Amino acid sequence: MTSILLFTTLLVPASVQDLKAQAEAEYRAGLEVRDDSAKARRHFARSANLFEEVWESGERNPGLARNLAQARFLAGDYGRSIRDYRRGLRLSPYDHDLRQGIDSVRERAGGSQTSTSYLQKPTSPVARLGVPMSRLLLFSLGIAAIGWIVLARAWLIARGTLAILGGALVIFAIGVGAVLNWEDRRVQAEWSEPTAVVTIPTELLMGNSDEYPRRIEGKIPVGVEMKILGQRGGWYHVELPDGAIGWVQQSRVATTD
Amino acid sequence: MRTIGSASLALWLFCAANAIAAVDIPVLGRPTPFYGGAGSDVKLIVSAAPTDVTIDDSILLTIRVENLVNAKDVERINLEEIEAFHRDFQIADELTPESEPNGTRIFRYRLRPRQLSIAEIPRLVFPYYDPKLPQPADKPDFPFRRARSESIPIRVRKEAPPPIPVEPLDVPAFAMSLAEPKASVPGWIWWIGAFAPPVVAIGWCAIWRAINPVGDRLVRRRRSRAARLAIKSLRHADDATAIVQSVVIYLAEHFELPGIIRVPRDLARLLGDARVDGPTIDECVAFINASDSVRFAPFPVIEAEQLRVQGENLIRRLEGER
Repeated sequence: MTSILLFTTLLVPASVQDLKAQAEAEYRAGLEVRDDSAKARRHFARSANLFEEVWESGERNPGLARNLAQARFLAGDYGRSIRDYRRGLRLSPYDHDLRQGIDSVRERAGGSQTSTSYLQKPTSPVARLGVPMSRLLLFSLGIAAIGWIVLARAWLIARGTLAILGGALVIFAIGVGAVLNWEDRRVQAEWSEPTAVVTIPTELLMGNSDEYPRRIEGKIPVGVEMKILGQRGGWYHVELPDGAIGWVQQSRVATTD
Repeated sequence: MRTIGSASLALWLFCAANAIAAVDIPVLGRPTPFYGGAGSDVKLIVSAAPTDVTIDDSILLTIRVENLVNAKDVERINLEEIEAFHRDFQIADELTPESEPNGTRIFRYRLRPRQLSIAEIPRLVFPYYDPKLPQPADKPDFPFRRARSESIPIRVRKEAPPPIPVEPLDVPAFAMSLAEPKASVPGWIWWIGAFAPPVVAIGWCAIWRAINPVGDRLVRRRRSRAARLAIKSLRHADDATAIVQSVVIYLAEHFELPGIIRVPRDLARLLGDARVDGPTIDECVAFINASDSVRFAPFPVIEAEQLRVQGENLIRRLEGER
């Protein structure tokens, strides 16, 4: 029994490594034949399926999520590509490559559809600055360090003005840190919330059956990300980025969970 | 003679051929349809190409009838009259090849399947008259025989999709490479970055103050310095005057005594002004008196060496060592 367990323990990682190697080989094969889109897409689709198996085996990290999402994107599956980028961003919300990738796929997916209000998602003031969170944090820590040094110097030479300046710098840095902490919690919550991404254009209905009337006109295009509020009988109760709430079929969306 | 013989043989062969070609086929007992074929052991060979076609393609059907004695008289088989062919195919005649072997007729048709479900080209029957067979009066159809072919399986597919033009795949720069493993900054590094500056600032102040003391600590330090110097000078003092001078300088430094000390009374007054306790004042005054006795008495009670020890003991006691 022990030997069987040991054998299984040794075997599983090896097979996962093999799957990863196969997936990467398929990806590179797709890049090599990219002059023929049909052939290339078949390679990328196989690569995505293999990466998905690795993901399902439990080896989950931002790099694997990026590879999986890229393979889906190049295979033409924009909806699942966005879903996989979100999976990676849940693990590492400030990963530059993942952010760049999901923005590109969103642009492609949105560009092929009619522009609609529910494709636009509001952003926070901090996010609108366009400065990476790590740099803002470094700035805050730097200001705090200068403030503390000025305070220490003021105490040593007993200068009140210098002490006020140092105290102001420290308080400013603490304020910036508090705002960044609030933003970090918001971002973590945003990427962690259960999300459904449209993979096949679908209608938003007022109930969990085809017999219910539509909540909005037209179909929701591929790539739109929706917050999952609940599920019932093969349907998801979802909220669109613009606040519209309704029901969509489970078979037409991919979920992050 | 030989020429005449050859000519006769040719004439005989010509007559024989004409006699065969002009075979008289009885009307009675003739099957329907009948294409006028006559011969013995007539063979019907049917071939088709291609046999795997789409619904829009056509099949070239070739019917070859061999061993005929009246090939030129054989009529073309009208496939439209055969129900199975008419039902399953659109039929168009193709040209017969110009050269046919002797005693053989070849007919060609272009067949287009009407439905996807058609799985074969039906079998054909070619009736012919065999002149070698007897013609009994009670069985007029006896000399009429039938050559048969087998059905030919075919496969009919849907219309082939139009060929997709080969287009290159647009691969953006970010997707040209796979993710490389990269190290991320652990969270505790940020916490260190947040708490290190105040710790460093406090440490800096502490070290600075340790190096540069102020207030009581500075006073203590000065005192201790005065004691060190006094003990050092005591050890090198070679007479009672130097010993007394070292101790008095120490006392002035230790108690921060202002002014000049000439006599024991001056010392007692200054120590009293500095709020020094009584026993200490008495001890200091006693030391000065002892030194005076060493220096000025004709018969001193103690020696200079004893005075040095007494002075050192006084300093150490005031420094709290004893």
